[in-house]
Amino acid sequence: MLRANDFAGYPPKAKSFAEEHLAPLQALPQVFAGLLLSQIIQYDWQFPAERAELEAQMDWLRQSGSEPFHQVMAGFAALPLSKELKQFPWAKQPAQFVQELTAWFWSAGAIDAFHAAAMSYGNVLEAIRAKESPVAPRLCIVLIGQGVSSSQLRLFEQLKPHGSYFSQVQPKDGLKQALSAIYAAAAARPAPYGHWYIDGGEPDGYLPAGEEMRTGRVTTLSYAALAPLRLAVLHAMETARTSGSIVGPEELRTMMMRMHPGQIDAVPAGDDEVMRHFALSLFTEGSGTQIFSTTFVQWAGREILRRARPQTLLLRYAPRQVDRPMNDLLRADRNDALEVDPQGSLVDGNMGAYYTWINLMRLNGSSSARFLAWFEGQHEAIAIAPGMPKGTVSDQSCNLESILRWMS
Amino acid sequence: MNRGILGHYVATASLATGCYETFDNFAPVKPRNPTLFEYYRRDLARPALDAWVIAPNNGFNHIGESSNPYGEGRGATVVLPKQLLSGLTGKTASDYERLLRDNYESPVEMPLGDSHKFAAEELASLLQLSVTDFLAHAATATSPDELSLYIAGHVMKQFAPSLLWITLHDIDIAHSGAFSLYTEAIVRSDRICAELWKLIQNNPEYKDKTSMFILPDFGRDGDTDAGGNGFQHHRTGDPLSRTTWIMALGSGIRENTTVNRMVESIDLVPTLASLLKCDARYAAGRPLAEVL
Repeated sequence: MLRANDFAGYPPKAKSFAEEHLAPLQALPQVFAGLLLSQIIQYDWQFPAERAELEAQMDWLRQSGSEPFHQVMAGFAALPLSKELKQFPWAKQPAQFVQELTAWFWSAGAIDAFHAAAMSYGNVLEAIRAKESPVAPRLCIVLIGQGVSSSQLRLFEQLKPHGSYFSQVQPKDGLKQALSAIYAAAAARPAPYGHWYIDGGEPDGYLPAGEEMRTGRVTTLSYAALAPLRLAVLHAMETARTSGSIVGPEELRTMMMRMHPGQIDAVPAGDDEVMRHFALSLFTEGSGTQIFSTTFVQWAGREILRRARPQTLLLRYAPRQVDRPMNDLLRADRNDALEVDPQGSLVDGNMGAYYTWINLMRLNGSSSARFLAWFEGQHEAIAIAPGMPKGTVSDQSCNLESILRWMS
Repeated sequence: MNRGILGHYVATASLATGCYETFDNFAPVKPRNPTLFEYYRRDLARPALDAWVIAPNNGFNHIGESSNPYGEGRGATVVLPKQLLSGLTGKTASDYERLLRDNYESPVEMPLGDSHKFAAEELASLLQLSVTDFLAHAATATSPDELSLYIAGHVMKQFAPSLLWITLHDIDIAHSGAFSLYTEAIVRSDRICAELWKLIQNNPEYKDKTSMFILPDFGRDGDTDAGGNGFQHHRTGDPLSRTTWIMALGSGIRENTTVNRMVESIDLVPTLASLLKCDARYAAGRPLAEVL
């Protein structure tokens, strides 16, 4: 039986939240409760959207007598558990429990049943999310191909059926126009973590007129600014890899999961614990974010959309380093002043733009969301929005500002 | 369709045994069920040098023989080209780092264990491989899989084994999230398969009397599955990550024919056993009638 004492080691807000909802948590199957607690224990560093959703989930889970509740929970209750997992201190260490649980489901041939149960609850989550509409249609802009002057690559092929392809975009001031759109939305509808700018290189310093005094409205992260943190994580990986203190990739993953901003000086300073944890998580939970800026941008976009559910998001890809021996790539002392691969990065960004659109479509209000991807500095763009005809090609001369206006 | 665990070593072990193995993907253990190599060598009383495995890294060093007593001592001869290169180059290994890299998914490898340590010189001697020639080739190879191709060609020339199993692994760069590197690796693997077929057709010991089977161990997560991140991983167990293809070519196999019925990864071993005239008696799959 789950007890309040099980939460004694949780961070303060997470502890309060779990204690407050002890009764509904006690009514859940162990597998589901463990999964939910692995979210709750993160409560102190969650974005507002995540906290609101946790509250909404708890509201739904209080209906333990309802038929839909029983139908969804039956899938989780039927999942087999090993003796070790039954005895595991799952409520005290939910993250480790979930890691062990997943491995067990694979080995026990129960991963498909787990997947089905998760899908069933996913439908519940979707219904919960659908009750909340975004305050305005979301806007997502992706800039790819920085540093590429020409390419034979057919861009945006997966996206074209969903929107309008523009072949005569005038590139002048394109980045400024994209940034202006984000800042304008942030000024009109300010919200904590509601507007984001992610750059795979050095962030552009452009600020629209009047924005200088209103910093903080657009949350900005860049690969360049986070380099000390990235290299610190790489160094920790390297130390684990070469010292023999870690045996096997699962132990490495566990070690990285346990990394905490307080352990690493390179985590951006400040009082914003949510952002400090988020920045660290991009490198400890993302695969490849430590070595390729293109992976960082794609993963950051995915996580921001999934977790913060922003009103606006600008993702700007920059050339990643060239491929090198993996042992070299993973060494912190060999990650400075590197040769870059713009053409490969264009391919990465093109796929990343498609994945970003998919992630945008998972959010509530997706039918009204607006998505724009541009080959930076060049003439190609794709715009997806309710007012943009699908599967069409426009040879009309235009610029990003005009496309953004048509999309709105 | 692969209904087993979607980790590379355990899935490849399942391909080799014809049973869905259930051990920890990253554990240094042998498959529980007999491998094709054991069925073949035991039933036909073949020597060790008639069945070879060329595998990418330490994780695969147990692939040649199971822990099952059925085929004890009758496994394949296993070559890990990267380990061979590392052993032969010693302190000069840094010259070949591009070939020694491990995949991104498991930068920390499990140790080999004492029972699997061997002298690189001994293996080179067994292979009758000129260390100078090998290092000269390695100096021009661009990936670990190309090194495996070189070793395969050498094994075919020196020993002409009846059963040769090669695992390519460059594609695992997908875990780093760089789509361009992933697709480059796919193209390279495709070319290496064609090179292997050329080696077969240019060698009188193999020409027109050899069958070649090519298959991925499993698929990758679907682009739209919320639990994954598309091509980057194979963690969700969704239909796309379980669905893949198998290609068979060679003597007696119909050309330019597509079979659309669902078959399973574990059908490979019974099919190969049938071709090799041995009995994969503990395998769970079924022979593919279309290629027999």
